[in-house]
Amino acid sequence: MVVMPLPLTRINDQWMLDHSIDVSPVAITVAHPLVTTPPNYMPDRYQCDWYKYVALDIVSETVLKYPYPFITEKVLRSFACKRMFIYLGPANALSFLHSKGFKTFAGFIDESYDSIEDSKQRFLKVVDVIHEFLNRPIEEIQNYISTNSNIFDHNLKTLAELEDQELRRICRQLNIPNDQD
Amino acid sequence: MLAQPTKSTIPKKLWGKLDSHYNIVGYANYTGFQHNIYYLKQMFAETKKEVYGANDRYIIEHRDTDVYIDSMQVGIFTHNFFDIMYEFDIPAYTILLYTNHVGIQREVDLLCARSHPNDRPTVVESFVNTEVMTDHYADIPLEPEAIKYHAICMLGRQRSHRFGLYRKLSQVPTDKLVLTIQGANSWL
Repeated sequence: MVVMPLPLTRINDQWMLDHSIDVSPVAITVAHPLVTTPPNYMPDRYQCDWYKYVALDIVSETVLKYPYPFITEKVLRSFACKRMFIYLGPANALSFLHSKGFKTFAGFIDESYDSIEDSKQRFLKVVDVIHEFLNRPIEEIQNYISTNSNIFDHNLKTLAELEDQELRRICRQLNIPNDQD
Repeated sequence: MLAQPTKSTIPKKLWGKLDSHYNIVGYANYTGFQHNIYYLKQMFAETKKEVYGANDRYIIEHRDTDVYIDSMQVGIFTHNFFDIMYEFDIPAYTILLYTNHVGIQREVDLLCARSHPNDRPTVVESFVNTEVMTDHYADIPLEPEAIKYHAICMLGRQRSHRFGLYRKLSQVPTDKLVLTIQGANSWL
């Protein structure tokens, strides 16, 4: 029997039903002078020139309470733009990205939130980690980036090679001959 | 040979490999049938065969989120897909599910428990698709001295966790955090 969800929603937000976190809708669009194009403006979707003025991308994924890591362009953009990131989304996404060869910033950012299965507790931990980061002196952040540029270069290279890497893996899984092997 | 449908976001090279290896009988995308099951029913009705060959495959693309409720062990749209597949008596082995849901094999095993062990869908788990990948990488220089802001947080479409995050960050000075949110009325 086909099941249709009512109300029709994809947001899986049972995590906040105890009302202990204020998730009341934001009615107005809030802009910032640095961001000069609308959300999902295609030419800027992956990379924008103004990214060079920020150290960290706070990535808010499509879903928070979800049974699987969910990876989209939102987090891949951080690799493409050579930025650090903090990921608000399903659990174990960072460890999944590690399995694909990406490196993250556990030496500088507390990434223990990634393994917290409870969505609300993970949300609260991510908020703490963000505030911790925002309280650091900007010089300390600049210094970390300066001395760890190899991580950003590695991630960009990994991203650029990802499609071919996945193609090889899938061809092996399906026993399809692949001349790249 | 089935030309890659325009709605497909499977990387072209991979589609080419699948097309050369299998006889692709049909194609459907979760984004097409998640809110309109008749799209899926129509696809199966139009492509249904009396006898399927060992190499026949339906390519089913799954890159959008599903709906999970506590009373079900599987996503609603995935449940619906297999329900309709059985309704049309499509052999499970003909299904190749290309999904960005890493771990969804567990759901497929549950939903296909009634099929013979040799008659099971093939699950290919990869988040790589043309919707999230690009080869247009502008070379944004890593210039620590150019960094003026600690962080950027662009909260796009409305979601409860984004509202929650906005409420937690809205008091941070704008010279430290670039915070934006889309105030549309849609929850979807």
